[in-house]
Order: sequence, then structure tokens, then C-alpha cells
Amino acid sequence: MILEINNLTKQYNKHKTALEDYSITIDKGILGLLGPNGAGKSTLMKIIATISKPTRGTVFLNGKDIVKNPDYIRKTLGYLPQDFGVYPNLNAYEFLEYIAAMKGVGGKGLKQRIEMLLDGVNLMADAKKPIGTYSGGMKQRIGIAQALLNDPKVLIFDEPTVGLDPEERVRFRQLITNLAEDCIIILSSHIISDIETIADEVAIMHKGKLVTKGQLPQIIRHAENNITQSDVPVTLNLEDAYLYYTQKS
Amino acid sequence: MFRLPSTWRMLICITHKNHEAVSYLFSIIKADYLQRTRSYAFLLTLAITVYVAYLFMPSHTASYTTLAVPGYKAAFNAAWVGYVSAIMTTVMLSFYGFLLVNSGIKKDIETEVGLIIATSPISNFQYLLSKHISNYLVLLSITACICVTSMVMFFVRGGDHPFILGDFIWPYVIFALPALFLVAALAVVAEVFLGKKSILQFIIYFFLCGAMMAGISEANKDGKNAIFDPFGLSTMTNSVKNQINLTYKEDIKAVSFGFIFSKPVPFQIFVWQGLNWKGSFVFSRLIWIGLGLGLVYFSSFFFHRFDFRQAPGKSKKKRLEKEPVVQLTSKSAAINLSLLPPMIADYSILPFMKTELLLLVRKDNKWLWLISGAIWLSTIFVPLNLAHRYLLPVLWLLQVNRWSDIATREKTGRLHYFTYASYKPLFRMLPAQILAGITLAVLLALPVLLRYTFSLNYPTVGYILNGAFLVVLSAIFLGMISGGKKLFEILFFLLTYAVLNKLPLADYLGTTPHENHNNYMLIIFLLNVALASASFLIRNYQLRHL
Repeated sequence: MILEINNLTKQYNKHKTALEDYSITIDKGILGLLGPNGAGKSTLMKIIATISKPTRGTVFLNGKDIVKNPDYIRKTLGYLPQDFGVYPNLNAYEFLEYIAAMKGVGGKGLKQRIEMLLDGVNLMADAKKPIGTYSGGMKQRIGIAQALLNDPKVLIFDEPTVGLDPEERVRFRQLITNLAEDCIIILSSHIISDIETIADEVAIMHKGKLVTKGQLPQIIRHAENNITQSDVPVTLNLEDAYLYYTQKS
Repeated sequence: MFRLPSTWRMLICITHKNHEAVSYLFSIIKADYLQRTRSYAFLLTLAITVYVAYLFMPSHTASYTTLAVPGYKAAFNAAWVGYVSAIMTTVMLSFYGFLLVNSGIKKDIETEVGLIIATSPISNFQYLLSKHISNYLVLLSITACICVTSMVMFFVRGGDHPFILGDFIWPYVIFALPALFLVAALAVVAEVFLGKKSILQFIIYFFLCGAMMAGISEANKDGKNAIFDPFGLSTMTNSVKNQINLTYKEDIKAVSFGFIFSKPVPFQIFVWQGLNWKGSFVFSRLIWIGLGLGLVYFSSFFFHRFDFRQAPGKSKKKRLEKEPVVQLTSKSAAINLSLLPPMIADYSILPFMKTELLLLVRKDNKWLWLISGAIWLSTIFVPLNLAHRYLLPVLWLLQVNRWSDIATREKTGRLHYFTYASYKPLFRMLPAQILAGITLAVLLALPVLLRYTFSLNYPTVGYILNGAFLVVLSAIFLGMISGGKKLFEILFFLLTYAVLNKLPLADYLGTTPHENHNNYMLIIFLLNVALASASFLIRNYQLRHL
């Protein structure tokens, strides 16, 4: 399972370029995307999720061009957008049944699959209530459950921990760590501690460009080496390193 | 040190505050107006408006008239073109303009801007007044567009009659402006008292308008009660009628108004020079304006100010309060994907259709289903002609809110991120939405369809099915191009209005016998194919351009 992004550019208009000549290769495991607002994280995720077409460049999943053949990734894609909505008149069970139909998941086991996912995100007790009555955190958990419906091999989470309480955030981290064994997981978050705790690799973006990508210790070490002016060693955490890279670029 | 007397200081303070309030109000109105008009839907509305304004002034050889006197047609002088287009605009826009503007507060609820407004110092009356004026400006923009088109039409139809600007300005100022002020106010009042019950708002409003129109034509035959006519229609029709009766020694009792189709008959040209405005009539327009303002002021006492817990009749919210949000416990199960039952692929569209139907059925309040149910049952028992001609169009119109957002609710509900990224959305989602919409239409028409089938009237069955496709595909197509549901709602309302008034051109249900039944059915069928093709092309583009 390998996702190759080559020279990706997304230009919305003459003055707005969201991604510029962006190349990255993503392997199994968790890739944390970091970057300030407007860095192009959501645009990149939308292109990988096939709901936005790049102006230039290619995206290959296992050697198949998913810009030209989007249905190849859609079968195995789990996507949690940053700002998603729900149908308030449906209950959680009906909503997941609907999303399952979208993803082409059916059969006798579907009911049990939905129940287990609802149980997993702690919504079983409210499964029969209209989603319109849910709190923000409950809706976010429905979003997480829907992303997992089709045994995804590529999971894209855009700000997944927004609205979750601390305990739920811990559970979410645990969940995606377990999933990462045989999935590509791309995760963007403004909560650096989330990325720091769970990401195998980190990619820092700024103004539509990839500033750096690598394993967490490498990135931090590189920043430390560059900041060190004298013989006194500097110790940084990811937040410091992130600030260093974004201010430098 | 010199100090101003306290009364003076207070006055300056009040003036200053008023100045500030006016400035805030202006900013709110401006933002609201720009928000509404900067949309493709509004642009489309203007385009349709220009076309309708063109239709207001048919040539003498056209198969319809807009202000008809049997055996007579007017010369296209400035007075006729200006006054007829103004009065047509006043009446037509009074009807469908309400539909166009009655969602200003609803938008603030949906976007949650209302919560910010609620915490600001703006008073209820100021807020409602800003919505009222913004509604009014939207209607005035459309009116201005028609007025300019009517001037163009004068040069197209007018021949060698002189152009008199006043004949275009005054009828718009005296007929249209006060009436539309009232319409804009009624839209606000309806939103305050009936909230999201948009169908009920439409029904009450159109019942009110219909009753008013009937009352005007009955009570104002002698033209003495023109001040009670908010549209000014009777003043115009009485003047035309009196002139013909006087000039040609006729005894014409009534002048028809609206799009009236008739077979060509010999006619005589008369020249109408416009109205002499009476002071009492002009003053009565100010009363209608005052009534509009008064209604807005009155409704401000009942405005919810986006506090729905205190608003009456919100049982859902009360129920919500009783239901505690489930607290997370560490005992809840963790997700282990390997323990889930094996995934079975199923790419059929039936599960979609089921949910889409469920969404259609659950939309709107139960009372609407009760009314629909009663009409549906009636279509089993009443004479078939009545069921087909009147009950079916009304029954379908009642579902307008269910169909109008069939292609846009994903986007308004921000669910399109899921649907557009799903497997083959173009050939699974869209057909499911179309089929669900048509299934609903067919189920509602089932008694009529079965009765025609049993009487072996298959062409009419075909007509109704064609009509069901037309309604649903129009909803989808218009929703996609406008990005909202208003355009379809307005056009569907006008279509139903035309059908109920037996306008042959709008007869998409085959209710009125006419010569080219089969050709007409073919045209509607081809239109359906075009709408479906265009919808697929647009959705195909939308899927990859978020």
C-alpha cells in the first residue's frame, strides 16, 4: 500500500494557489499533517479523497492513477472531513446504513457491523435518536464511525479530534494506532500533542508547499541542529520544531 | 465653563444614538441585500424576470393577452406599456415575490448568524425592519429590471407613439412600490409567527392574496372602493373599461387580467392615455405602507430573537432538555476492525433509494401529511376529472418542500464530502435521488393513475407519469444550477397556478384537452431527457470540483 503524490498543484484562481508543486510519498502508518491555516492541508486531503481535482500533478495509489480513476480509491477510502454535516432527521443507525450504501457495503453482516461501530464510538444508547439532537462531540463520533464502515485501507482524518472530550481523544488515538498496522492514515490537526503522540511520520506544510517530512525524532533533531548557535545544545519539542520550520519557510 | 442645558444634551445624545442606529441598520440591510443578490439563483431570477416582462406585452397577433377587453386591443403607447407592465408586475410580484423573500430570518437561523445578532444591542424592531427593507430592496431590484424591460418593449412594440418617461415611472411608484412594501412586511411577519413552516406560510399567504383578488373584483366594480385595493388593479381596469364604454358606446362589465389565452377574433384598436391620479388614491397607498410598517412593529413583540427554548410550541426542544447526553464511560467498547463481520460488497442503488425516500417522507411536519392524506383519499372518491385537474396539482404542490432540496440538501447539510467521495456517486446516488422523488410523486398520484388505467385511458396515465418526471427532474436541475431550492419552489408554484387556471401552455399533467396532446407529451418527454442529461453533466462536474 503506497500513495505517491507528484508535483501536485491546485490553483483556485490567478491569485490563490492552495498547493504548489507538492510531492510526497506516503507508506503504511500514520502521517501527521501540520501547518498553519491556509497551508493547503485540507486541499491536499480533498484531492486524495477524490472530491477535488488538481490543476496539475498526479496521485497514484499502488501504481494506479486515482485522479483519472477515482473509484479505485473510493472502495477502500475512509474520510472524515473537517466540516461535515449529517441528516438531522435520521438516527445514527439509519445514517450509517445510508453511508454504507454509498460505500457499497451491504449484506447480512451490515447490521452487526454498524452496531459494533456504534458501540465502539459509544453511541449505542443513542442510536435510535435523531442525529439532530446530538451534541457536537457525538456527531464527531458518528463521523469517525462512518469512516471505518468499509474496512478502509486509506484513512483521511481532517481535524478529527475537534469536539471530542479528553477521554474520547485518548480513545481515538488508541483506535488509529491500532488501525495503522495495515492502513495509510493521513491525519491533520492543530493539536500538536495529538500528532506528537500518534504519528509515525510528520509532514509540515506552509503556503501550499511541503516544508519537511520525516520521522518525528529526525525532524526535531534537524531543527535543533539548525537552531544551535553555540556549543550549548538546544532541546526542542514538536511544537518548537513546527514553529521553526514554518517561520523559516 | 459653559454647559448645555440637560434637555439639549439629552437631545444631542438621542440624535447621536439615532444616527448610530441608522448607520448600523444601513450596514445590516446592505449586508443582507448583498448576501441575497450575490447568487446565481438571483441572477437566474432576473433572467426569468426579463423574459416574463417581455411576455407582459404581447403583440396584437399573439394568442394571449394580459389585460383583455373582448373585441378590443390597446395601442402600444407609453401609457399602455408603462401602466400594464407596472400593474402586471405589482400583482405577479405580490404573489411570487413573497416566496422569493420569505427566508431572511430562516437564513440567519441556519447560518447561526442569528445567535450573534441576538447578543448584539440591536432591538427586535430594528432587526425585523432591516429584514423588511432588505426584502423590499430585493423586490425593488426585480421591479427596476422589469421597468427597464418595459421601456425596451415600448420601442419594440410602440411604433410612432412618443416616449413619455412619466408613464413608466409613476405607475411603478404608485402601484408597485406600496404593494411590494406590504409584501416585504408580510414575509417578515409570516417568518416571525410561522417560523420554519414555509408551506403553511405559502398556503395562508396565497389564500389571503386569492381572497383579496376576488374581493377586489367583486367590491370595486364601480371603482369607488379602489383605496382598499393594495394592488391598484381595480383603478386601472375600471379606467380602461369606462373609456371603452364611453368612446364606443359599449356596456362592458369587466376587464380580464392575467395571461389569458384565446382564439384569434376580430378586434378594434383603442388608445388609452393613462390615469389621472386622485389624491385620495395616492394617500391610500401611504396607508398600505403604514400598515406594512405597523405589522412589522407588531410582530417585533413576538419575535423569538433566536431563543428557541422560550419560543412557544417548541416541543422538540423541551424533549431534548429531558434527554441527558450520554456521558462517556471508560467501559465502552473499543473498535477492533478485525472483529467486525466480513465486509460484503453491495453496489445496488436500492439502499440509497430507501434512505432517500425516508428523507423525503420525514421532511416537513406531520400536519402536512394529514392534509396530503386527506387530499389523497379524496382523489379516490371525487369525480376523476376533479381529482386530476385540481386535487393532484395541489397535492403535488404541497410536497414542494420535499422535492425542492432533493439535489442540494447534501451540500446544505455539508454531507457532500461523504457522498461525492463515495463509490460511483454519479450513477448510484443521483439515480437513487431521482427515483425516490418520482416514487413519491407516483405514490401520491396512485389513485388517479389506477382510475385512468381501469378506464383504459393510457395516454393520460402517460401524461401524469411524464409530469412526475418533469417535477422531480426540474427540482434536481434547478437546485443544481441555482444552488438552492427557491427557484424551483417559485417556478413550481407558478406552474401549479397556471395549471389550476387551465393555461394550456403549462398543462404538464394533461388536465386540459387541447389539439396537440400527443405532441405536447413528446415535448415534455424530451424536456425530461434534456433535464436529466443536464443534471448528470452538472453533477459530474460538481463531484470533482469541491
